Amino acid sequence: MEGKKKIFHSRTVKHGSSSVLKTVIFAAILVFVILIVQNHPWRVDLTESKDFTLTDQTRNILKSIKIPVTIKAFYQEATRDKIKAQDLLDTYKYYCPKLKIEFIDPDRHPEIAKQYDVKSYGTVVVETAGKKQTITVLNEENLTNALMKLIQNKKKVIYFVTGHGEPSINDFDKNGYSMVRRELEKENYKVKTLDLLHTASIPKDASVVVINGPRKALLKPEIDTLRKYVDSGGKLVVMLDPFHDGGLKKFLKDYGIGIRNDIVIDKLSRVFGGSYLMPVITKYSTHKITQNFNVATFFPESRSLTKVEKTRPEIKVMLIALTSSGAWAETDIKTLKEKNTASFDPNQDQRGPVCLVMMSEISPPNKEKEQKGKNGKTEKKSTGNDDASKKKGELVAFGDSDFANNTYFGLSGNGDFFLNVINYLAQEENLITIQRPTKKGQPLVLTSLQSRLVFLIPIVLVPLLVIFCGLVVFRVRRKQK
Amino acid sequence: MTGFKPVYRKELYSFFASPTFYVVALIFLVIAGYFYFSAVSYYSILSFQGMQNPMWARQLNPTEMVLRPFFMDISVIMLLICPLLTMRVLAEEKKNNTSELLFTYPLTDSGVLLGKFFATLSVLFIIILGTLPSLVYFGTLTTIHWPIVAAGYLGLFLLGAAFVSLGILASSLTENQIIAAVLAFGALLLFWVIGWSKAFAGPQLAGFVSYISIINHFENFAKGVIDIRDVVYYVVFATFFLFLTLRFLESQRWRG
Repeated sequence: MEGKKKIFHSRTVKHGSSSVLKTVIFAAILVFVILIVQNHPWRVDLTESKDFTLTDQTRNILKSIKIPVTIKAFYQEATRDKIKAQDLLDTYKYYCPKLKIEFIDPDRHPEIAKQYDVKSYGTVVVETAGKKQTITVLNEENLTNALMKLIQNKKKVIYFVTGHGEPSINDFDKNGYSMVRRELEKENYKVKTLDLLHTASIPKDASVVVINGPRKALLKPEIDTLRKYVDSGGKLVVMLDPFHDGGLKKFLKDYGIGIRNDIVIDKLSRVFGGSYLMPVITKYSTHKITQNFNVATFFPESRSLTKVEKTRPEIKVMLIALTSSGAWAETDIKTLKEKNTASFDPNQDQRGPVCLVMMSEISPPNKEKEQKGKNGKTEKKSTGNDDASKKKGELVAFGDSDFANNTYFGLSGNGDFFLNVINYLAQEENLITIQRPTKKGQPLVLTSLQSRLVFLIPIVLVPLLVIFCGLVVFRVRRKQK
Repeated sequence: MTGFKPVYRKELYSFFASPTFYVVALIFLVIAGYFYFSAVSYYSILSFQGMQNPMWARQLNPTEMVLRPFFMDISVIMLLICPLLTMRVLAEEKKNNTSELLFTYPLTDSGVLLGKFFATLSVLFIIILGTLPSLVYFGTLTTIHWPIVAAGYLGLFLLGAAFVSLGILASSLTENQIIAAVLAFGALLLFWVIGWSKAFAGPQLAGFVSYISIINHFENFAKGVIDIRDVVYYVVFATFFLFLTLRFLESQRWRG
């Protein structure tokens, strides 16, 4: 009996251990297979418009990513938008496994949302060692551009013109521009000063040139340099305070922007706690600069800008920011200065809304080429730096320069607005345009017969068929018995 | 692998002869039909509202509005009915004491097991195909892109294979069909919901957890993308549990 038990026991151990061993080996093989496949993904996109396939441009950029990149998407749980975002980010992840994707519900993790300065659902932050890019509208174009900006190592240079009494970027005083400098450097720019008298042309590495509130007039050679720069595709920001036109009146006029000797009076700003001389802007025109931007900006002591009707055909002028219709541009400076009062004079003064920020686009002589890419998508790429003659020159004019100085930079949306303008001007040339064919909607309107059939076929007819088959089988079986 | 064909045929026969099949098919199709009906109705209502808002109407398309949610819904119903199909596969043989007979026939264990597995999977897929007429009718109402439908059914087939393999393992463990069904359902549900813990699992674990989740791999099929990683997941899943079943059947011999 003892012996029999022992034999039985040893048999169990032998078989048991071999069985366990087999299972372990088999599991190891399966894990191996999984790992191979995980590292060599391959897939087919069967959708009609290839919704889950990225364009060649995006794929090329993804290929060049060598460093770990984290994409943080701030979405509410279980919303349609989140599913869409998930689809897109999964597609990116498929092409570039290096990407790390995190979904964060800003309501559940307000601390993370605050850390990344997330203001709306659907904000996506792309982050890599110390650098980050934020996009508020998630699509292939924006995400690819954000990735591209991140992986670029070259810092873009922003030049501030000096020599005419402009507030200095190194001045920490209340009128200085040191805050602008600090914020631009945070955004990964290099900030330098530029003395136009000592250079024959604008440096090649200039992404944007800024003239912030000159007190003395620029000389003719300086203006000629600027003109050459803008005409060959340069990006220029001109900020002029009232009573100081910096000798740029004619220059601006040539680009479709008119200035007058006036100062903007806005009674609305009183509501916000400002003075009559600090017009407030709460509504912006639809332009890329002000996309999703809806914070009020204040422009202390500013002058009006007007559109010049007769310009060269290649110049396109856009109004970016306008005051409320209650504001006006006061021309009776004498009364204002002496009596400290102002009233609207319909004969002299320009009625509101008064334009405070204007932009002028100078198109290059010949148009950009459009290429038809793979998958039927139209892919368009702006020409690079070397082909300067084809770049679009851009000029943004502000009727004020104080709004971005150390005193007012942090006020409401002032700083963000200024940075938006710089970001827009500095990065336009690198942007990739990805146009996916716009999907046609397929609305479905059912007639009453159709909607009845939609109900009848799956819920009545097919189940009846199943019951019928069941009954037939049941009968046949009974007969067989 | 001898024994695959006769076992397959015999299993199919016994499925179609049993009232369980018809009841399960009926319930499945009625519920699936209801989901289909509500998806199409919702789509139609939105289209009606969308006529006032052309921007919004652009987002309406049958793939996103009907096909994708419909396939996701079917996968949920499958979770409920699969254990009912697999519960009897091996448990019944044990209960009737026919399993010893079956495994002493000159048939290989793997042949028998695969025969039973594929028979159950075929039956499940036949039930799922009962939803096809409504999609065909839907195709006459609007234009749908059929490759997406094919991807959806392929996904359901693979998901079904995973469900069935786990169900058969559960069925091999016990002779009580109810216990087999409950075990299978519990295990499948666990594999389903484990992906939800992604949110609070650590960063290392999150990737693993979402990989293990049985439903995460189905989403690609439902949206019309066939990814080799998802296919391999289901195949490996099914193979592994069939292998375990085989080991368990084998152990019954030497455990005495």
